[in-house]
Amino acid sequence: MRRLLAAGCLLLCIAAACLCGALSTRAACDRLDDLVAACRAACEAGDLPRAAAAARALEADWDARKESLAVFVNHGVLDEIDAATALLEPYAAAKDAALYRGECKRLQTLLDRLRADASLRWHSLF
Amino acid sequence: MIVTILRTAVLYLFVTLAIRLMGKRQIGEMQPNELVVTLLISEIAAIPLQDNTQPVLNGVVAVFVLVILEIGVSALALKSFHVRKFMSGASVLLVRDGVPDQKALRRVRMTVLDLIELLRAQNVFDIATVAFAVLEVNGGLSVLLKSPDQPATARDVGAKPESDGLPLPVVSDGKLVPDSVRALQIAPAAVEKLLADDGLTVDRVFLMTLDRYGNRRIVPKEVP
Repeated sequence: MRRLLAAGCLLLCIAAACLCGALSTRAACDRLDDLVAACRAACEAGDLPRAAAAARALEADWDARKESLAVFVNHGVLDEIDAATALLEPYAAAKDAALYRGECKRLQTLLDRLRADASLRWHSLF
Repeated sequence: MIVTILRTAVLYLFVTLAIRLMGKRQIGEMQPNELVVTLLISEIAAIPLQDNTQPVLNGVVAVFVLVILEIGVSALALKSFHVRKFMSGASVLLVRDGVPDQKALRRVRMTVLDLIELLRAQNVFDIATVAFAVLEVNGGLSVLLKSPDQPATARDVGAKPESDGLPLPVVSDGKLVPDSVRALQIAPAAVEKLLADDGLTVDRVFLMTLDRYGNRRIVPKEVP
């Protein structure tokens, strides 16, 4: 009986950890989606100084979140996002809109992958 | 490197806790489902150890989900014969009255030579002496010899041997073993008095065993 009780407590802890992981990952992805969209909008408008400022805001936000995400998410994916966010500002400073747009697109794909990993989907069971 | 050391320590603690949670049966002879869980736990725990990009939490969660499943299935198996049979299988009678059951041997994919080998491992060298031999779900063979071939017991020869008490280690390497002292229902001072009768103190004893009839065996510490 005690063992069953311990198993029940463990199940609750695991459920809480999974829920916490899914919620924090989703929240981070939603916020970063908005910031990436702001970066793209500034770049599309040809306002590269604003794009550089948006990239700085994106990098700062990501830096604040990445350590807590490392508890739940594969560190390799986080490193890729880290690299992508770090490249945006230098591209804007160099006034290279094409590379900036490309990096935004790559970042968006990585965020989509992160979101997909955190959510329960039928195909991810197999 | 320090990360690897800490991750290993964390996983070691969690896997030890997981094995403890599953209980002692897990460490001894295992049922098929217990074997599967043990193999999977060792594999899963190794992944975050080898790959630092994997969060430790992933390994810990997977290990504990296996433990929860194992405890849940064990609890169900206690209540339901069908669950027990499905998860662990059933024992198979291989020999009856000295005659191997050929159909049963085929069913468990065992040759008669395998059976004879298993019997020899049980100190049975003549299959004709076997009343029943059962292949248990953990792969062990239980053998009951025919009555005339069973070793004589004290009752058979009408002897009345003295009762044996279970000798417990009450002193180990110069320290009292509280569990043993409690189990024997004696005071620590009584152990010290017994030792004093032999001119010893607890800290000078390497091993002292004692049973409920007061029989004791003392091994003093060697002087370096």
